[in-house]
Amino acid sequence: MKLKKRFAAAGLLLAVAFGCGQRTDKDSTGVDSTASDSAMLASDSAIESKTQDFFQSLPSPIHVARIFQRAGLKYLSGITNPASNATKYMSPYSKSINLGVYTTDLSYCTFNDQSQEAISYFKAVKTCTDGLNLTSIFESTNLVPRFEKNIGNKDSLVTLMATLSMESDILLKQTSRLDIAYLSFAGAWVESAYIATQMLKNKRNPDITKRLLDQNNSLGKLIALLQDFKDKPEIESLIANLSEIKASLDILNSENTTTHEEEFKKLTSKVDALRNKIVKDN
Amino acid sequence: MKKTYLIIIAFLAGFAQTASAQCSDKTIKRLCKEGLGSYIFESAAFKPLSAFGAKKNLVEAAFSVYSQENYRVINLCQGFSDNLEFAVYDTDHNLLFSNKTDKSVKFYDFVAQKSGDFTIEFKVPPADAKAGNSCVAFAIGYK
Repeated sequence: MKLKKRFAAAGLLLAVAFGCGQRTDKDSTGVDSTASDSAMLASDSAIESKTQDFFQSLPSPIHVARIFQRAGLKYLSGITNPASNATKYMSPYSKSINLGVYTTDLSYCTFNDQSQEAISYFKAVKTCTDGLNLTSIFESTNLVPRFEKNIGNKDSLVTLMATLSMESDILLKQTSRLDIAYLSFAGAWVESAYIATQMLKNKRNPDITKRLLDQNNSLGKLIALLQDFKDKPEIESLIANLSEIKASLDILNSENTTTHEEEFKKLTSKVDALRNKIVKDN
Repeated sequence: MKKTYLIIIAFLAGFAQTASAQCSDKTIKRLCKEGLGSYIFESAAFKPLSAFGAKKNLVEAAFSVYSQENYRVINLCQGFSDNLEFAVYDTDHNLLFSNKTDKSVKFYDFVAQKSGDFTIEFKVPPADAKAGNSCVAFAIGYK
């Protein structure tokens, strides 16, 4: 009987140890209870359904911007979402999705040697992450001063952007804030597609077109991942818009080249409409 | 006798804390920095083995790649009785790499021939799968 009691005590202590371990991990991210209680947090059932699977690994928006730049995507002045808009986004949805938009704009400016604009976008990213109670991303790494100090050194800036990407990717997964991760990726995806289609609208480039069509795979994964959060009307609407874009990409990826010109115009129009909705929606 | 129990309890509690810490953000970040070398961080995935339900013997995950891009995939698994066996498959599920003959190899570098989804697969030894207190993790880097 005494032995049983002692094992029960051991079990209790173990449970506490596991519980404390989880808590410590969460605390180390700097996410406070307000963040955990955020309306944007997924429902328990949605998170529960994910625990059976591995996290889906989506490409980094910074890498996608790099791929487009290597394919020949040039800088077009005034095409990005003004950094000054960052303070206007009030809802967790608009903060999350525009966090992704700004990540792409930051990458686009950095890879095209637009240093001053890049600083503005770095700060816009910070504004969005602060608004989502993800302050530890910048606080623990002192990223803004380091970014400002390295202006003009593209390699260092890319390294700092990668640090930003790692901090946010790991933090969002550690804290199971997957809705923010997926919305941010959605914003980044739409912004990169927007910049590419705007450039292709004026001048066709087969390499950029190929990279644009390559985005169909990650878009399909994103739409599938967002399904867990479709009980929110804005996410349901986003899924519908992204699915329409995917339908155009499916056609463009098919062998039937005769439909390409017309379908490309449709794709450009769909991306344009969704992107404008995202950056104007507060 | 009482002292013996206390020692056992303290040991078990410490073990539990270690298992939990293996999947912490700090550990994963440190392992990413150490393992990526000159590659740039793309993404990471990590979860305690206990979160994988009944499918603990074979854990699979897909990751996106773009054609002609250079990648490094790193096995960041922690807390297993031995280095974990892992394999990488291309978009058509052809085996590209396996560390079966040398489990100490923790990464695989490649140039993707096609854009699409690659698969990473971890084989968990039955004893570890039963225990379930370890961390399955990997990261992707690009150049």
